[in-house]
Amino acid sequence: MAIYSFFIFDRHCNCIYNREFTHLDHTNGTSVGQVNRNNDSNTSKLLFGILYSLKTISSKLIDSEESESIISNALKSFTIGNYRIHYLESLTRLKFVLVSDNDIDNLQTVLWELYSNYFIRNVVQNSLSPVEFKQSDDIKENETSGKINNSNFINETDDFLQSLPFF
Amino acid sequence: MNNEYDYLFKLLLIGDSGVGKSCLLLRFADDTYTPDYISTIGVDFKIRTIELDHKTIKLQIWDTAGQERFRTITSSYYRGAHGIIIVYDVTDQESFNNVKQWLQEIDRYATGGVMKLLVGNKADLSDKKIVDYDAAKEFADALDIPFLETSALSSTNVEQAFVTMARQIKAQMSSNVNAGGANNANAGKNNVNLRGQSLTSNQSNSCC
Amino acid sequence: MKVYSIYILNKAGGLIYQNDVNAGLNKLSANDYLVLAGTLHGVHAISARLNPTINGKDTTSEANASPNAQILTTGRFQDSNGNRSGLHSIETDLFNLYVFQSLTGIKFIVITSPNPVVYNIQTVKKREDVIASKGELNKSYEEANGVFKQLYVIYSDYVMKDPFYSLDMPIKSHLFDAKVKELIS
Repeated sequence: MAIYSFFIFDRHCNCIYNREFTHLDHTNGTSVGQVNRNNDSNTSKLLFGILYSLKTISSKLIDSEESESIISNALKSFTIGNYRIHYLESLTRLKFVLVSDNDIDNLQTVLWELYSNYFIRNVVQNSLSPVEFKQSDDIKENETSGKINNSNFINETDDFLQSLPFF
Repeated sequence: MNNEYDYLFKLLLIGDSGVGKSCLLLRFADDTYTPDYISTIGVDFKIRTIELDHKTIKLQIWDTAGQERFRTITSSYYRGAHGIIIVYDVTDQESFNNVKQWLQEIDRYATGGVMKLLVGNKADLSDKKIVDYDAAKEFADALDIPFLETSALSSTNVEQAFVTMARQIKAQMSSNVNAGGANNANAGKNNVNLRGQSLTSNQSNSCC
Repeated sequence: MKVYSIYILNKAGGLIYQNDVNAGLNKLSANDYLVLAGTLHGVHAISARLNPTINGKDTTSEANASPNAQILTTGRFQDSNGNRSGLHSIETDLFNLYVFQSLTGIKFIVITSPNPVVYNIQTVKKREDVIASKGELNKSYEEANGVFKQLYVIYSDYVMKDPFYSLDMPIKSHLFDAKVKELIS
């Protein structure tokens, strides 16, 4: 069992956080990887495309039992080949995505914790953090504010994810 | 259950980005509602229902994105297409030059013998027109592809072209089937089954 | 597991069969179903493309090699489901959707009731509960695979052997309908 990567997309379809874990050495439990390297890569964009399409299908095919509620049927996860992609969308339409192998059934609690605890505390309540992340086309050369570069957030979520028994 | 239609034809719309592929069919499709799939998965769908010889035919038009990043994915949309429409912009020479590349893509990915149609779009902008009608017509004739110019303002001839295409596809299916079922020994052109259709079924009309 | 709907897509991504065997899903218009089928076809194609890059490691070669090697050595293809690298399944709150593919590119889509909910996301704090449900989804996939295998046999017998059927066109055989109903009930 392993978790491979972690993505956050904002409501403008931009990938604002991308963490990839490389499982190199299983003996001493250290993991390396990349932070915010592939935010604008085709992989991120295509992943978003899949999420968007499947989300639309999920809500279209079935109505929630409580027809009064505005919350439609939510996509939880999907499997492609050897990977399972877990998905949680906040009410502010931020999309949290974890990629794991397909032995892990459900990471909804983990995604919820990443959002409700780490993201809220380190990004939302952080007055230095922008409310809206800039779109990648508007960013000037030396600016990198289209992404979450907050080291507290990066370190804390890394520690949290690596502490999970199935990481 | 699929009692609503007898035939389902897949038509593919290709061409550079910005040539106005999507606008071409706005009035042709059954409903104007279009989800914004095209920017995310590289394809959008438009459906038109037509009646031919008392049969209901659904034309499912796959409108593909011209952007480079979808190029590898659009190739998988060619599979099983019955007809392919290549669109260029008459005010943009580059888009016309690229038609050759699109034709190569068709040769590479689509099934042989697929119907083709070349469309020059934005013909109403006559003062900005760069690609000459005669040049395009000659190019299309050399390759034996039907050609027409159109604009979003006068899309009637496109509709006409699509219905003609549907008619041809349907006729082709019938002839393929007859040639295969009746006289297999005949070395006629239709016996070479390039279109992946069943040679065993001896009637074109699906049962109903 | 209760089967809600069964769709069959031809190799081009066109919807050629759609049957709501049990009530549970919304009724959409014929055009909406066609769009839905096309979208799933597109997502499946992108998934196959995404699969090798999402982890930075190339795994497609081995994924594709195994069925080929199997055919070469035994002369037979053991598993009728040729869906290796594309979209396998979708889990949502209210339904699960499974995608199977024949070697010829025909997709069979089975939509079922969701896996039973074992816990509530906001109330349970223990991470161990997450692991408790390990492997359940793979089991459901196998279960749906069983439905697909039988469906494939029925399709081969009652659609492909039907002399009046033209390939890749809508399936309108009452016999096939009846057999599908029989299979599900």
